[in-house]
Amino acid sequence: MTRSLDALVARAREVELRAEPRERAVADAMRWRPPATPRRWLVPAFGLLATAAIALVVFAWRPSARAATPLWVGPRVAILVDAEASYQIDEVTDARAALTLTRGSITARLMPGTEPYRLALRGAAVEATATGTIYTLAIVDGSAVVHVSEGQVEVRAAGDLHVVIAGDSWSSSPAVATAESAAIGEAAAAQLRLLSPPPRATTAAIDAAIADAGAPDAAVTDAGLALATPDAAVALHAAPPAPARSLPERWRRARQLRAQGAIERAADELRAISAADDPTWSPLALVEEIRLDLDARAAPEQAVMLADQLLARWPTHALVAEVRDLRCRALRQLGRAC
Amino acid sequence: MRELLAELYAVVRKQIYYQLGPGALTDDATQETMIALHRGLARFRGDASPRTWATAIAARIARRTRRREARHQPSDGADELAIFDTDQTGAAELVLLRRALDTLAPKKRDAFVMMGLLELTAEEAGRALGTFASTAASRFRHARSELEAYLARGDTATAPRLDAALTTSAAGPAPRRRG
Repeated sequence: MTRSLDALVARAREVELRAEPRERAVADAMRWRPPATPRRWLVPAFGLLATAAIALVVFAWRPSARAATPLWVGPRVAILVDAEASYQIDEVTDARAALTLTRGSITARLMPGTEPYRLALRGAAVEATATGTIYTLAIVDGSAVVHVSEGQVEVRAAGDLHVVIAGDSWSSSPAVATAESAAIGEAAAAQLRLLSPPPRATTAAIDAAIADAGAPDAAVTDAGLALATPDAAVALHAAPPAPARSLPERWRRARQLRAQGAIERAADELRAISAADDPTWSPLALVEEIRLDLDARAAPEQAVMLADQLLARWPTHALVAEVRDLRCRALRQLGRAC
Repeated sequence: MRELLAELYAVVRKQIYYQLGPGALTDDATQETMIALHRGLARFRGDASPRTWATAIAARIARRTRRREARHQPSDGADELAIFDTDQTGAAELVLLRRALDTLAPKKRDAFVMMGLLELTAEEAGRALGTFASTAASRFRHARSELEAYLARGDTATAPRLDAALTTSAAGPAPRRRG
């Protein structure tokens, strides 16, 4: 049985398509979206970004590039430590300060003053003592390197006394190169030269002036605290004589200022209390100031320094355990192990 | 747009079926054509009728598919006519026509599909096939002659199956397949 071509063609022309496949095909075509072309630039861009981030992190954490902040140790000594340094403050008094370095380097500046003051940096069986200078002690491969930027330093090592003058370096081992330590020391010295004496020295002087002025019944003012500014002398004479406040009053005032959010003024009060060297109130003020540095002021390095001070001055105080905890917290904030 | 696409689907589906034969390739080429039509409608300038425009696109896609899948053999599955709304007799005739077209050279087959089945003019067919109108008309004439000779011989392998299909259809329409 056969069909003519025309009959087959006519059948092919007239035959209809079923509706269901047609509807589905139309819907599929309308729903179709071009496949997302892979963004080939993303891979190299991400790689570039990651490299830049790594480089930034490495650069930022390089010891020489890390921005260090000078720390005040006592009224006349400022130190600058590198990121790798491990040290402790042995002693801080009105006449002397001593620090022991076990790793890294410390550059110290002893501010000039009317009273004699001795600054001793110890490390690797060496003690370097100065009475007014800027110098660096570094531990390099277990040996001590002393570099003097200003003044002169007496170095005691193995029973011998060496005098190192400005611009010179001394090493306890001839095998250790001093050039790198000298370069680090000079860079730190340049930063320390910019420092002015610490505010607390000014505050203490003002407190003394206020105490000398008498007027015990006068109203309590903050005139004394305002004198911490460069216009101190003018303000001192312009303001009415301020009363000499007792330490408990200062303590209450500090707590009050802190509660009011006047953090810096509270810290000034606390410094004044701790500078009084009172066995009851000074440790309390130091701990309170450490807390301020850790929380409100976000200054963990300062907190570490104050904790070291407290541990050196009152090693058997009841708050020692808490201070150690605060010190650990500060070190963790700095990314160091405690 | 949906109605227009549905109308064009009826044209290109038949066209590609007769150009490529049944099977997955035809389905793919049809879908590709539908997507191209959907995306191209926005740029369609109306220089020709939508039907001519759609057949030209379908012809290009069918040719490209044929070149890409040179070793493709059309499947002879029983569901090849599932898309057509027809009874068994009509289905058997469509199978016979499609197999007759398979005996033609591709260029002649394309020309016959365009001008014989889709009723395009020689100019339209030539434009769709990328050739001259006279060439398209010549191919159509040769294709028609070869198809008539093929059907006149009556000794094709499809003839017995066609007869069987027509015999079965006499008892009543075959149940329609879903989807």
